[in-house]
Amino acid sequence: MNGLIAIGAGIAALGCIGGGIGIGNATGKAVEAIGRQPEASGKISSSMILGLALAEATAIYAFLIGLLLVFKL
Amino acid sequence: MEEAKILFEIPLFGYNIGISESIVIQWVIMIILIVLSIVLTSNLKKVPDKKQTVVEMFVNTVQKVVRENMGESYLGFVPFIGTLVLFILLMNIFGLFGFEPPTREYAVTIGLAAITFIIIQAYAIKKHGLLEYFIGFTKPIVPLLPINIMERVMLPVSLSLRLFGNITAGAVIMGLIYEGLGKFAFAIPVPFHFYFDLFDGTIQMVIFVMLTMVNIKLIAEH
Repeated sequence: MNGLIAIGAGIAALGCIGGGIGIGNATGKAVEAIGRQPEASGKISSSMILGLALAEATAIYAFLIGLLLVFKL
Repeated sequence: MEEAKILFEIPLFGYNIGISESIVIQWVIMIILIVLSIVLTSNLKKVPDKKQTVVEMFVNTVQKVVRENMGESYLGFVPFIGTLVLFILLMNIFGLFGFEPPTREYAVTIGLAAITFIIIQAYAIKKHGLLEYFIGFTKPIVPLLPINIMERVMLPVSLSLRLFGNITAGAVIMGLIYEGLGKFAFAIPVPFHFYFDLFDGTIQMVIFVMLTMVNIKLIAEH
């Protein structure tokens, strides 16, 4: 049973992939936009941080499930 | 999740209220902030001296951020936002002093998120009136009603889980590093402290405050 729980925690950690892809995409686009319009960098970076927070939430949920499973071991 | 350590209990109305370490740390932070604000704002002058310049810089920065993200008519939120900034930042970087950061406990972050939630709803009601507020749930079309309600309720949940999850991840990794190093824990944990306590703590504070500001504005103007 313990082994299955550990495997489940590992599978839950796969959810972090989505967060990573999202954050990478958002940051890449933001850097592109700043390159095109350097004068709007303040607005771009503040909305980028917002998007990053939302993308990161999914990874946090995955982490939380993993943590709950690990504490059950 | 582990049980919170109870330091001592206060009997109140027949119940014993357990006081955990995180509550004591929060009291310490509150006392620090109150004393600092009393000391720093006593005898303000027209021509600022050194300490007054620093305080004015902080207040100006918060005002600028609120003006940029929320607009001129929301400047009344500056004290609330400034307090959130200082309180969450101090809680997040308390790991540097050898304690566990209080935001590691879910109860603390859900409390903060509940404050934000109540302020958002109360401001929307104050601005539009009770009837208009409930009509706002049915915009843009009536079938979206359950989704709108879900959206409101999920906001504090995701806000608190984000802060809690990030700080917990940092604290768990710091614990692993100290456990792995054993007696040789010098110099090596320092960069990790910088990243997980200072950098991550600051970023999470910024995100929490930013989402609070954006949501106050969004929901008040739906």
